[in-house]
Amino acid sequence: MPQPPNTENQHPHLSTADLADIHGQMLAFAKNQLADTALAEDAVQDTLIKTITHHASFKGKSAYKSWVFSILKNTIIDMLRKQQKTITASSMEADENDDALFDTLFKKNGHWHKTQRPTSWHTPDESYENHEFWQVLEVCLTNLPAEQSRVFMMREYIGLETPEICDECNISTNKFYVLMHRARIKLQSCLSVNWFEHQQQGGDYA
Amino acid sequence: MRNCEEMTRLISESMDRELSFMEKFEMSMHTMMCKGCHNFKQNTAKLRSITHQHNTQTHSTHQQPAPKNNTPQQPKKHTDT
Repeated sequence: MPQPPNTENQHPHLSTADLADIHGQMLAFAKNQLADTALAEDAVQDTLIKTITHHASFKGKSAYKSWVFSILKNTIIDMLRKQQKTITASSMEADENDDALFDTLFKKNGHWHKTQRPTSWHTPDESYENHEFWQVLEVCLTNLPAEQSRVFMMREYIGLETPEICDECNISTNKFYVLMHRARIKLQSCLSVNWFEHQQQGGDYA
Repeated sequence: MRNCEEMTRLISESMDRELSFMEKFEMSMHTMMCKGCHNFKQNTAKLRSITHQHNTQTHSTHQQPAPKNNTPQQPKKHTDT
């Protein structure tokens, strides 16, 4: 008799705390992308149902997590496509926060503050295989305002073209460029502070 | 002439549309002289390849849902050397 999916821990390699941790992160990510708690819960639920038959074959937390996240992302993309939902609620607030960030990065005349000037990222290819790096990237993505992370993901993660994204999100081309610019500025700043500078300071293990 | 803030906008746009000849010219002149914008441009391109790699990486994990330890074990021969 087939077992109905339940909340009991059927995972032989991960603790209930690990699973709860991952599920919490999934929900946070989905909420950010969809800007709707109920939809986000649906997305996580759908993902867990899709993964339930295979999840026991993952031995490590990181392998399991990256696998469920890849499915979650596809589920979210499908939902976004169906919904064609425009996220406007948070965008006023986001604009104000962005202004504050831009003020810290640039002087009044629009040139870089000396201390905020971007530095070159030294990234040996192996660092992309580092699981911690992906976690930092996910956190940085999750910290973006919903509208920005959504278009960024559509462009850079899914690889959609500009007209297609503007169509899907019902925004002008100019608005799209503004959102991408802000997303890139913020992601670079977030990754620089939380990964690359951190690596340079603490990464003297060669 | 664009300042750095405006230049980062143009650099960002260069990832999403074809720039005009004059825009390309201005971008290369500016990034040649300005280290901050030069680095921003490089990091923007890196960010794309990182994100893309993240997608293919998680996707390939998806394709192979069972990373089992089924690599054929080399029969251990006793080689005395």
